[in-house]
Amino acid sequence: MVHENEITEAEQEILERLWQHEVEGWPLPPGAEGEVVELGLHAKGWVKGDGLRLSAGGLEVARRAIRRHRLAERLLADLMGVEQEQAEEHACVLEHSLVEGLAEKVCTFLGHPRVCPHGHPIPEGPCCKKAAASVEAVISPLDHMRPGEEGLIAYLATPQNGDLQKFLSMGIHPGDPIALVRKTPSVVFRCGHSQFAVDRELATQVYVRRHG
Amino acid sequence: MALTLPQGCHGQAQAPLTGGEGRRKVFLVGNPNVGKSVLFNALTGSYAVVSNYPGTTVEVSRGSAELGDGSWEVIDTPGMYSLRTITEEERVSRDLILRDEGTIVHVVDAKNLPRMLPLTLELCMMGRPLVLALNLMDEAAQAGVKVDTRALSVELGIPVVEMVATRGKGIQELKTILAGPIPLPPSPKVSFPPRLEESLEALRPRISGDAWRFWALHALEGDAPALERTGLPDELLRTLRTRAGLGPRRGAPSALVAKSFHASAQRVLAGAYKDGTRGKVALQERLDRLLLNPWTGFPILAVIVYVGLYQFVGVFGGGTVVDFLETTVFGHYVNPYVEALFAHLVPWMWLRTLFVGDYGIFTLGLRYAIAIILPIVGTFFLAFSVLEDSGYLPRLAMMLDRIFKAIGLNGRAVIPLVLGFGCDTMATMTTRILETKRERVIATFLLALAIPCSAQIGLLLALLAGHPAALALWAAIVAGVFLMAGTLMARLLPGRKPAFFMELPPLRMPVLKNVWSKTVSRMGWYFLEVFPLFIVASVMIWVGQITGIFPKVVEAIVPLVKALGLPSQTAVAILFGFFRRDYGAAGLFDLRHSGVMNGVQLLVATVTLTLFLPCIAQFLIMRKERGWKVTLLMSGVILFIAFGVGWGLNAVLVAAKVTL
Repeated sequence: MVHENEITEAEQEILERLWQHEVEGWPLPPGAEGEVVELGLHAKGWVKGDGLRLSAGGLEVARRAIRRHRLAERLLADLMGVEQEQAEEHACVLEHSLVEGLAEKVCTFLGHPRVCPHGHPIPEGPCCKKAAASVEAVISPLDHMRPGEEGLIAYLATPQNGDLQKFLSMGIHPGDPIALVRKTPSVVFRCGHSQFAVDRELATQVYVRRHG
Repeated sequence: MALTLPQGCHGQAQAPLTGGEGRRKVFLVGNPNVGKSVLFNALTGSYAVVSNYPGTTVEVSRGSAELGDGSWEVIDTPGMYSLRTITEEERVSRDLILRDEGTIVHVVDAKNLPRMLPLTLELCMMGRPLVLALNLMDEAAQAGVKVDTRALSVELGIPVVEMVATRGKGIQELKTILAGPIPLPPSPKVSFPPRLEESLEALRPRISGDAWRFWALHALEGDAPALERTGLPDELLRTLRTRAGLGPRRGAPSALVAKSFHASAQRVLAGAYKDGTRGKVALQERLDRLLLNPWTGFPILAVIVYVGLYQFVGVFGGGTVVDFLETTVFGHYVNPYVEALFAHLVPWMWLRTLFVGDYGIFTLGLRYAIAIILPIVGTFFLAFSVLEDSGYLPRLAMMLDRIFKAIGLNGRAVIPLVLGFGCDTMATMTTRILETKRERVIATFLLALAIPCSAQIGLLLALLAGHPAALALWAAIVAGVFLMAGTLMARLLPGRKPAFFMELPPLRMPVLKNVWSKTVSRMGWYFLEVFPLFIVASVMIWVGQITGIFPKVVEAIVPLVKALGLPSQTAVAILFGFFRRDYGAAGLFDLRHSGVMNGVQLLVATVTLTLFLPCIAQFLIMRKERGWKVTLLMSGVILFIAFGVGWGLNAVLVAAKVTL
């Protein structure tokens, strides 16, 4: 296994682009092929044959890089309140400091977020798989709150973009105060002067920073 | 009510007084359940259905209003949360305002201004005459919310009107503003992330007009009207979209953009909106808790069904009123008079039967429509309107969501399904509030198959009166078919599982005037829709009899009827059932009075007729909403299930030697 710190920033950058292309369908940036050759990624065994497809090992390294990058963005945006655009830039720097152990700690602290501030999924780490939603988490899904409890919306983690959009277009945004009214038979919460009912599946995707 | 016009518009262009050819238009736009339809009624004097349920306006209402020196067309649009849309109702509204010209009135719920102002900013970007109507000011005052209307107007650069539309406050002010010249809104100060700004800037030379930012943004997000208007190449948009960080997929509304609008709206409101502190738990809120708690909510539902549906609609509407109209009004006055009249007017017996015969237009068509169907449907619509305006239905949706998930729907389907107990045809139209095509297909099918409308329920109760065991069996069988058909469809139809998300509007005391005009409007719609069918059915049956076709068709159905174990006379009722299920049931009603049928036969006949397609009107609406292919397929399946269940039921009951 290659240790994170042995990858250069340039390598990490191009691996992330290849992964996004292969896994999420983003277009390849111009000049990708040249960079792959220049950095000798074929020789390192991360890219297959002479094409641009990642090998199994390359996929894994890239996946972890993406995970660190998006966790860094999440950390900056949610906890530091850094604007999205800057978060992106700082994240590029920060992700290199997130060695594997630290990334796990950050992920746990954030309550195992599933998407970055741009709405792209964060690949799961070992900690997410183990996490049986710890009670002490500062940030937890809406349906883990007690009825009557209040908090601030930390972020929305809906894998289907349409559902995420539904919250946003109704004017329910990260940073807004939210109060849980009840959990059964459906989840009811209050936001501003309105009440909303959602099913449990949607409620698990609203992450709330609890007042504690 | 305060009225504020924007100050110091920096030499902005004024909207042209005459809007080119044709009439000038006003579009009422806004979130669901903020009072657009009330405002529409107040402006035009005509009627759009208003309720305390998000998403009731599924059709676009158009009306006329006299404003200042001329006649304007007023258009009420289905509710939408944003111009960047997800649901079909929102798309209807968006396309309507994007593809047309005219003034826009954005109606908002004043106390929830922070949630609604982002849409105002989106509308400002369009660069069309815009007025912000702060409705529900009374509820805002109650919640301790303070809005500085003048500051808001200055900040946005558009006229802002305070309003309580249900009580007519602020309507006159709005009319005055609409009649005068309205300054075009300045481009709102919405700042997008720098990378998105760069992409927008890159499109600037390719888009004409002042609202280029608006069209560029919508083109980047892949909205059809913006793509048509700008004609930008797909490849370029793809590149720019990626560069802006909007994600690779086209047509997915972006969280980035929503966030930018939200942030800008909060900045605009900083000096103009002050939130109130929530006071003590009011009576209203305590009642709300009881409704949302399943332990108290379901008993309350049972009481509502018993009092509202059984006692009011069944016993009062279907019993007392029907008896009075049937026996007293028609039996003693109308029928003898009409018969005497036609005996005098029309000497030819064959022609006279068209009007006053066994199936005559007056003696059958008019009598069924007015004396039997109308009281039942009318009392149902009255009860439904009270429930609708109180805000109870969204709470019911919340309670039933889990059960509905099992049949491939979600809580939102409460409104079409409950409305179906009034009129399935009207309910099929409201399936549009469901988000996915899959849900709309399932709901349409279940309405057609297993939700008996109020007219049918009334007749079935009368038919099975005195056979309580048969009534219980009927209910169990129909409910069973409903659940089984739903579960099967949920498994068979592909598509993602629907997510349930619904705003719960505040509980409100229904206003008698609104309840009444809504009931009258629905009854009017029903009568126009249904009454002609009764006449047509009477005429067709008459023609069929005169020409000898009708008896032949009846003869052809007799074996089918016999297979169900029914007396051959019921073939006539079954044939009527094709025109309207309740028309068929009404036929059975006459048979029951003559004592031809026993309990088992009554049960088999009622179950079969309940599962039938309700009426021709429903068939036509299904075709309009779902298309020929789906409708014909559904009708075939329904016919098969109806006869299959009837046949099976008879076989079982006869084999078990059950008497009911």
